[in-house]
Amino acid sequence: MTVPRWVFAMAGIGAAFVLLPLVAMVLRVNWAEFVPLISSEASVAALLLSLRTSLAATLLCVIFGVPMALVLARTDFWGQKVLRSLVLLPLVLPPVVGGIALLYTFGRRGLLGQTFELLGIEIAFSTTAVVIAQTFVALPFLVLSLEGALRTVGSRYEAVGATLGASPTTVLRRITLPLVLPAVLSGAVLSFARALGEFGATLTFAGSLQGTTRTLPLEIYLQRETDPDTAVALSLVLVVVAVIIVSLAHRTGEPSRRRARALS
Amino acid sequence: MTFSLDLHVAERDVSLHLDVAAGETVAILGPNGAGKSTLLGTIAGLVTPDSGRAELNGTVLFDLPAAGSGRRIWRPPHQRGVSLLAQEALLFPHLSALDNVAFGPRSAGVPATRARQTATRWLREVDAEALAARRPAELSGGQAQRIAVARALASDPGLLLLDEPLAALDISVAPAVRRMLRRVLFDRSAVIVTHDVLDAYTLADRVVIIEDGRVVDQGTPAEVLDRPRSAFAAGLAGLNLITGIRRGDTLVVADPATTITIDAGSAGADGDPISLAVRPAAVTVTFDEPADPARTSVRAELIDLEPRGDFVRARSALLAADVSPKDAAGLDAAVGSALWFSIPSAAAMVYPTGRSERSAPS
Repeated sequence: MTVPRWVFAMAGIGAAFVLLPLVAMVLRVNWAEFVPLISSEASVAALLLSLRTSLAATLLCVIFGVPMALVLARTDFWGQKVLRSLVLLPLVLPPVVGGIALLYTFGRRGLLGQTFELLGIEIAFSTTAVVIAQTFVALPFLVLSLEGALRTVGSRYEAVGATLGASPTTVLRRITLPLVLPAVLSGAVLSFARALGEFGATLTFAGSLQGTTRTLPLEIYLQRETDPDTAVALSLVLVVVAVIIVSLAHRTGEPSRRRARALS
Repeated sequence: MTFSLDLHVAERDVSLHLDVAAGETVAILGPNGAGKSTLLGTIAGLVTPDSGRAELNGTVLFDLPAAGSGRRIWRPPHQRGVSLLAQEALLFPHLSALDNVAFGPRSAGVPATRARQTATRWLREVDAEALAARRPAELSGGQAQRIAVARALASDPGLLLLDEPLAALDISVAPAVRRMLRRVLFDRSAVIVTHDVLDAYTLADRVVIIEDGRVVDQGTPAEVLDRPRSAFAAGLAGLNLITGIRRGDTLVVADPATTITIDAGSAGADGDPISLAVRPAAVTVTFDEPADPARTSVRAELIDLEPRGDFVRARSALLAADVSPKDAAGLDAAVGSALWFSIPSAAAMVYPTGRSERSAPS
């Protein structure tokens, strides 16, 4: 297909719309003070907390998201379509609404809060709350990309494995997961990116305590009022981390596409 | 008895019984949609029938009584000892050829080193030892199918199922793979679904013909294919099949109404249903009735001439004859008119249609 010229024009405007704000931000960076700004105690604490919680959230996404994708892709039960839409709800839900929902689930007066309190665990306004909020918003990314990959690969190899005497767990470990590994990795990277950028649910559910729940996006929002230079410098750090993650996701996504083509 | 199966699928109107003796290879032939793949899927445990029962070497694979009476048994595929080899090799793309073959033994709990030794032995058995380190993406269709055979056999199945194993292969490599299959299937219980009559002749001890979800004929390849009982089997074997009633030394056909002089021999008594099978290549077409007493002739309308490579098939409602292109040119103007189709008595096989003498497999 030959792409019409006007399509190029529209695409150019779209690309500029995405890139220009980034350029504008970079132009505002106070380079002379850049290193001291991003290495202040509060900044470092926020960055480390963000990385730590996002990694934990990604791990939880893999642990629960892979089984969820398997159940959605490989089984057939009444109400499955409704369940899939509900599971993917956090994708479209405003994060602040997610935060409120989590508060009424895990908060002190929440649905499960009292149970946890009896066990001596208080979740709301703790680092655990940050991880829960991030997992909540990031989980659908992994489930969605993995479910698609599972459907593309199909279940024919799994059937062959079963007739060769492999138990369902062996089939999962030695056939299914290796075949969709690229999708698991790219899904995990996407989840990590989403967790890293999480703001609304975290603020609502976990609050903003330095070193405990104040992640990098929260720190940026806070500094913006008092110290715009720090806010811009930290924003740049977040952009760089995001760019690295997106390129990683592309790299891990490639082999899955190549493999899919080899199969067809 | 190694394997026995009763199968009923109401939705597809399938109702079958199948036995496989120890070391026997059974070929299943049938038109598309006859229920052949359903049959294999059921034995492997990938398709659940409405009701039926299967047993392999004394182990019940499934027992699904009709209408929910009694206990239902359904053994999952990995506990059946049944390997399924499909048209496509379906080698696991992330494993080397060797690890593909070692997959079965590994799943059975054999330690890695020994599983690889077993795999190497099976690769040698299918002449693919040199390919051990290759990934499936680096293999040709024929090579991949050889390795798939080795993989299916390495899991030491009590019964091997083959679903048109040569159909997807290049015509140039299929004969070599077929020879290899004949070697490894010798003395092994196997069921092979095929469209190819050559597979049946070379690989099978017994042929079962399935039409519309029922077994319509079975016996040795020679019995079923040299003396076909159904139009389908005759078509596969490339034979003209004429069925009718014996009246003395003639075969009386109802539709189209014809009487053919035959050398009936011992083929049934007067009034018995008998069949005549003859190769189209042996049939000749002439404008005048041949005087040759060793030939029996039938006057029939020439319906059409169908080119088939280096010969032309001349068809009437009763018989088809393969003639040379030169002779066909001479017949071209006669399409639509009545000609003489004649059969040399020596080339015609006459046999009882019922074939009560055929020993039913026990």
